[in-house]
This record gives sequence, structure tokens and C-alpha cells, in this order.
Amino acid sequence: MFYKHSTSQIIPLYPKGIPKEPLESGENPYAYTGRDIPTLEVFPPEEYKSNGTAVIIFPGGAYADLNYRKEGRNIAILFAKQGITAFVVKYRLPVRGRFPESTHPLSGKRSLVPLQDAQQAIKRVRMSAATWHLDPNKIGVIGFSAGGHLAASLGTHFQQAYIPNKKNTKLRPDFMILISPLISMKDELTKFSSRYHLLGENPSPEKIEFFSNEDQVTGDTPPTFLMHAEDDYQVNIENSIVFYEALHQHNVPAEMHLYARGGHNFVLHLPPREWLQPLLLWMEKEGFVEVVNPVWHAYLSWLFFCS
Amino acid sequence: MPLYTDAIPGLPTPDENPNAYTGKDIPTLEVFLPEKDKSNGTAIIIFPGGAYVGLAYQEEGSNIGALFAKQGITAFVVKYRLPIGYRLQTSKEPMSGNKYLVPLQDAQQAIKRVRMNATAWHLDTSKIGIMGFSAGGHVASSLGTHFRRAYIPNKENTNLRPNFMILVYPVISMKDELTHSMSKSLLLGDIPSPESVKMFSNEDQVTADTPPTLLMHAGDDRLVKVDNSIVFYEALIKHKVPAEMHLYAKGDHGFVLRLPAEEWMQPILLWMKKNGWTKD
Repeated sequence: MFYKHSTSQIIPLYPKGIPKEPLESGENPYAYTGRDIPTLEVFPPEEYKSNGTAVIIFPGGAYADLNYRKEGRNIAILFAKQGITAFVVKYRLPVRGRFPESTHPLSGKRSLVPLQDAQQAIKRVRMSAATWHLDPNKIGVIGFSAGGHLAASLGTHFQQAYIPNKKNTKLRPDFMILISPLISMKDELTKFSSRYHLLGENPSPEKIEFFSNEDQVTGDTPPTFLMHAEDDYQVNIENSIVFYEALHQHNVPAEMHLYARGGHNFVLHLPPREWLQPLLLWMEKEGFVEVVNPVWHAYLSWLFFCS
Repeated sequence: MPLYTDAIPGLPTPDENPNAYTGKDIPTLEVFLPEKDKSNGTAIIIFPGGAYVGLAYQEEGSNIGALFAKQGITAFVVKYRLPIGYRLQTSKEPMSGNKYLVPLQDAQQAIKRVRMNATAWHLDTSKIGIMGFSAGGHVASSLGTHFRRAYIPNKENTNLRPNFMILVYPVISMKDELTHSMSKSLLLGDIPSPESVKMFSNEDQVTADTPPTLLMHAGDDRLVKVDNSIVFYEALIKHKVPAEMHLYAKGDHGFVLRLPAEEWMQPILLWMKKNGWTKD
């Protein structure tokens, strides 16, 4: 698929300096060399006026890489076309470089840096809501695969700030969209390469529990939309199911669409009508998109009749 | 048309209990034909819900049948017998016969009739699916998991396995923690045997031969817990049966009556097309 968008703009995520992860004993003091500067790329709506809704996008990549274009920019452009302001986050990876050796001095030491960047992303978007004509109560997150783990971590770990937050900006997303997400760090459900990149070898039970987001759901977890395919051989579909069950147990409104076939991150291979339509309908139903644009319903019916 | 051309199986003889079956609820099959040149050869047999105490025949039956017929799909609505007529018996013996089998018998008979008359209706016998709502979803999922053994006379040995199943806010389980207790007591009686609970907890009856399934349920369903759909889905994926599931946050029980048809029909039609049961 070919997308273009002329007016996106890349800004550094931290204007005042990147925070260090809280030091653990024995940590390499040279943990952060400054090579991978986290950024935020904004895609303002182009064709129609902004409807005040924002989504912050976390691309996947097993915490070893970022599928920035496919699971980032391309998705942002789809949202921007709907009047939704989209932001793509280039978050720091726990360990620099691809598929590091287990002897890497940073292995498992920087587990919090992706979450820090996620918190900073929502903080920046909320604080700058006026600049981008956003409703600060309609700021959601979307994540794919390991990016889904990051989005879900943000949605379940917003009570404590892992970044400086003097103004006490609200870090809770207003809604979450999780596509083929990794949720759990437990042996029976996790994707081991992602867990290894995030937590290192032989992570402690505390760390596993902290980042097994199905165990971190509360009644305050934001409304969530989940999509997954049965034949996903990268991230077990049970990740979505256990998260749905946790949400349901805490009376958090949740919608889930599970497909038989499609593989991992199948939405990227599907025509947008099949996954974007239920997603947009959900956002509308839950009140996260104000329907001011008369083209909206025409677009939804077009999606339907194209089927 | 009447469901059975011969005698209705499982009827109690008058000396068994004269009041058990009054003959008022003759099981029937109603057909909704697409316009002549529009038929695509696909058939769907619809089981309305009603907690095994009644049938939402119009809302979860004929209205839906008409919608499918518009899409070129030949639809059949089954008025299946309810076990309730049989429970009036002052039974001395447990279950006084297997009266809980009558909805399943009617379901088997429905697919048998449709299959045997496929040519008359210009149907493709590899594209005969079933759909059930609520307790009708229990009837449908029972058929989809109990097709190996015929509970009706089946000399012709007609294939009783549906080619696909669509279950909308279905009752799946008869276990106390999941079931809709009214449906359970009407189907199995007030003190059901562990065997009947096991047999009709359809999540335990799934095999690799269970047909591909589409499930839809709302999380805020106050009558039938969404976990019914989830346990069935998990059983299906465990046996590698292709399955699709759409869970909505709001809609409650009977959402097809409240939501615009295109919102809940679209995933069904897309699913059928993806699997090759319908064409463009």
C-alpha cells in the first residue's frame, strides 16, 4: 500500500533532556549513550477539520526494533484522514541494537525505558492539546504486537509516573486499541524474544508480574478494543483473551474481534474496511470521536458496501 | 412446512403421560427463498432463542431469515419443540425418557431435511450452515457438536454435520458457573444428572470435526454470560477449528433487536465470504 502525507512533523519526545531509568544495583552507568533519541511524529488531519480526538501510536518490533513505517506512519495517515490527529512514537528500546547477545551489559536493565517514553508521549500530547486543537479527554493509544504491550503497560501503569511530572499531568490514556498485542510476560503466554529484550534473561517473578498487564488491570483501566488472529504464531491469541477477561472482570468496557486466519498483525494485510470500520464504529459508540463530519457516515457506509 | 414427514420421534405414548405432548407445538421449518436469479446456493438454518421456554420466532427467526434471503442465502427458520411440555409429567423415573433430546432431534431433522431436499432448493450441500440465538445458540452448538450420533431415524445416513455455525449470544454451557439457569432447568430439569450436564456443556464436546464457527456476544449481557462464548472459542482453537469471535462492550442480550442490522450483519457476511460460502 502506498500512502503519502505531506504535513507530518517530527519533534523530540523530551525537550528538556531524556530521563535516566531509575538505577538498579550493578547497572552500567553508561546505560544511555544518546544515540537513539526518542521522538514523536505528529500527523495533523489533512482533508477534514480536526475532530479533537488524538491517537498515539506505538509500533511493534519485539522490543528489539520498530516497524516504524508499517505499524506507525501508515496507520497514522489512515487516522489523520478521519480527522483524528495521530502521533507516532519512536520509543527507546531496552537494549540498543538488534538481537543483542545475552551477555550484553544492559540486558534486562532498562526494562522501564519504553514505558517512560510512553508516559512522556501522552504527557506531551496532553500538555500541548491546545496547540493541536485536541480535546485532552479524547487522547487514546494504539499499539501493535510489542507496541501493544507498551500501550497496555501505559494503560495499566499510569498511577505512578516514571518520568518527571511536576505539573501532575494525567498519564491515563482515554482509550486503548491493541492489535495482536503481547500482554503477558508469563511463560505460558509470552513471546520469548520480546520478553528477553524487555526483561533480560531469567527475569524475577516481580518483574514478570509487573509487566504481565493482565494482572495489572483495575476498574480505572481505560476502555479497550482488541483484535487478534487464531493463527498468529508470533503472539498467542490467548494474550488478548486473558486481557479481555481481566477487563470484563473489572467492568471495563471492552470490545474484541478475533479472526480465524490472518497471522500476526494481520490488519496490515487486510483492506482497511475490515478492521477500520469496526474500530471507528467503536470509537464513535464509546464517544471518543465526535461525529461532526458529515462525510464520516458516508465513509462508514462506503466501507460497508465495498464488502 | 412440517419438520417431520413421518412420525415425530420421541413423543411419549398416551399411556406414558397423556398431558405431556398435546400436539399443539408441531415442529416446523419455514423457508425464505432469495429472488430466483439471486440464490448463491448457500443455506442457513436458524434456531431462534427463548430460554427453552418460548421462541422469539419473529425477532430471532423470520426477520433474520428475510435479511439473509436478501443476500442470496436461502434461509430456514426452525420452530423446534420445547422440552417444557414434557416436564409437566409427574415423573417417577429420572428424566422420564430423554425429553431433553427433543430440541436436538428437531435440529438434526432440520439439517437432514434441508440436505435431502438440496436439489429442490438449488442448494450446494457443502454450504449448509446453522445459526442460533441465545438458547437457540445452545440448540445450534449442540447440533454442531453432536452430529455423529443420530437421535432421529436416519436410514439414508444423511450427513448431519453443519458446514458452519453462527452463534449469537449463545448459551453454551450447562455448568452452574456459566449457564443461563432458566434454560438449564427447562432443558435438563431441576436436578439434572451429571451426564446430561456434561453432554450439553458443548464446550466439552468440541472436536477437530466441529464446524468452523463465528461467535458474537456483548460483554454487558445480563442473561447469558459472555464467558459462554469465550470458553467455546477456547475449545475451538484448542482443537484448531477455524473460529472468529466478535465481542462488543455494550448491547446486552438480544442486541440484534436493537443494533442496526448492518453493524452486526456485516461481520457475518464478511466471514461467510472469506470462507467461500458466499461469493460477490
